[in-house]
Amino acid sequence: MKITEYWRSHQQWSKYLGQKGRVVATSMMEVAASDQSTLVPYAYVLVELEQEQGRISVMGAAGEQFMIGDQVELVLRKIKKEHQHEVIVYGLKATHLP
Amino acid sequence: MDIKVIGHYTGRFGELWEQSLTDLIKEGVQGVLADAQIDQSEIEAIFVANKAGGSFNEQRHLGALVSEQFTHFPPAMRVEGACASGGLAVAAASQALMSGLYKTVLVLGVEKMTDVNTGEASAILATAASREKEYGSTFPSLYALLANYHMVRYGTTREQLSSVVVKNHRHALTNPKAQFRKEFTIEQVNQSPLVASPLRLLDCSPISDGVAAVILSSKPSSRRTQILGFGQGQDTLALMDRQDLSQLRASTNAMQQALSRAHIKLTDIQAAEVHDCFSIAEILATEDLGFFPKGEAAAAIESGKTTIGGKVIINPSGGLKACGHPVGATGVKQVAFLSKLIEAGQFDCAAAHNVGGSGATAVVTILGEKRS
Repeated sequence: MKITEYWRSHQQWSKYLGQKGRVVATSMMEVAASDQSTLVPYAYVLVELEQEQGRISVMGAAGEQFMIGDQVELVLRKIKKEHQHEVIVYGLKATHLP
Repeated sequence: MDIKVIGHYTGRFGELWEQSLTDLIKEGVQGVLADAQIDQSEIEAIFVANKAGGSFNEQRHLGALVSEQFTHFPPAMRVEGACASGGLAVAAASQALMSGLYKTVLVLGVEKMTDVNTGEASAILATAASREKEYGSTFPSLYALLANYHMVRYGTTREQLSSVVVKNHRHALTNPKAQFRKEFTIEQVNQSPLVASPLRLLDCSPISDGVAAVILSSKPSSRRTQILGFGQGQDTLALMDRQDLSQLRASTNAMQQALSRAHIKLTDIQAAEVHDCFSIAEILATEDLGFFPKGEAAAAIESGKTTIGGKVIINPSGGLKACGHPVGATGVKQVAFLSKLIEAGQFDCAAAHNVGGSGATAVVTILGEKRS
């Protein structure tokens, strides 16, 4: 992810961070693109949002598995494998509600 | 619509280490000209289908690369619509012929994917998804979401997904150009490694190299196949913005347009090459194109209604799954393969269905015996 792309994407955080929703489709990824290759396995989920009219698709928080109907919250987590010479890239992920 | 397929060629699909992108292009041009039995000077324009030569091969400007294979350098352009590039190039070429600007044109689809590793290939392919809205996904994971939704909504089973794979690999046994001429059992598919649940390795089409080409002409010809109609549908790039996850609406719209232009009924179509980039994609396509009602295609495939002797033969080539999926070549290969079968008298009418991304673009081309 380019730094400019990262800067633009972080502007979406305030819109979605902390929003709750319901999982409408889910997959557990065992193979990922090179940016996420060290993060597998991780879930990828489609979430119907409670407040916003609409959906969002995001990675699931590390170590969590999801099923259709699960209640989740959007949180900030690392979304890309780290290189020593790069900034740590954070983004929105879904986690189960406590 | 008076457009004949006067030449067709499909190269072998697979991991073609010995051939470069340029080698594949040369093979396609020479092969299709030989089949058409025309002089190269008759090609008035070229439409090149390619998804990502700039990323896979660090080679852009593919129109010029194909045009320079001809001594008269016909005008050439590249058409890109992700995995639907081939279908779009055939549609663009058909439009050019219908306009009267040209009488005879070449459509060449090519992709050289195996010079990068799997992680790089996945990242390149993922650029056809929404970068801003689907970060962290891969195409297997996006189609896995569709599979998960379909399974819960319609009760589609793991075995039914596998039955798509088993059928298409069986079909590929008779296709000498197929990447995988090997049969699999339901159990072997069920036990292959998970890629993105519920999709397993054997649910996924492979990474492939390959070329396919057709020559289309509005001039009188003794060749048997013509394009009866075509249609193109569009939808949102990101799955999250779709109204209905159980349908690829672009496919439905493309088929309706194509049938209308062809002035035929869906029941006239005897065979179809559909875009089975994943097993669930064939189930969705078989429903979205109208061959079976929503929620009934998986059972129909499992019970043999889409193989030889069934209601409609789906993916006689082996589809993307077994024949291979060099993305830019796939849509052109579908048209080339069906043209060959129509010329051989196996079918009177058949459809090619080519999808880009997770269904944001879809093209349907209906081919049939020339009507005098």
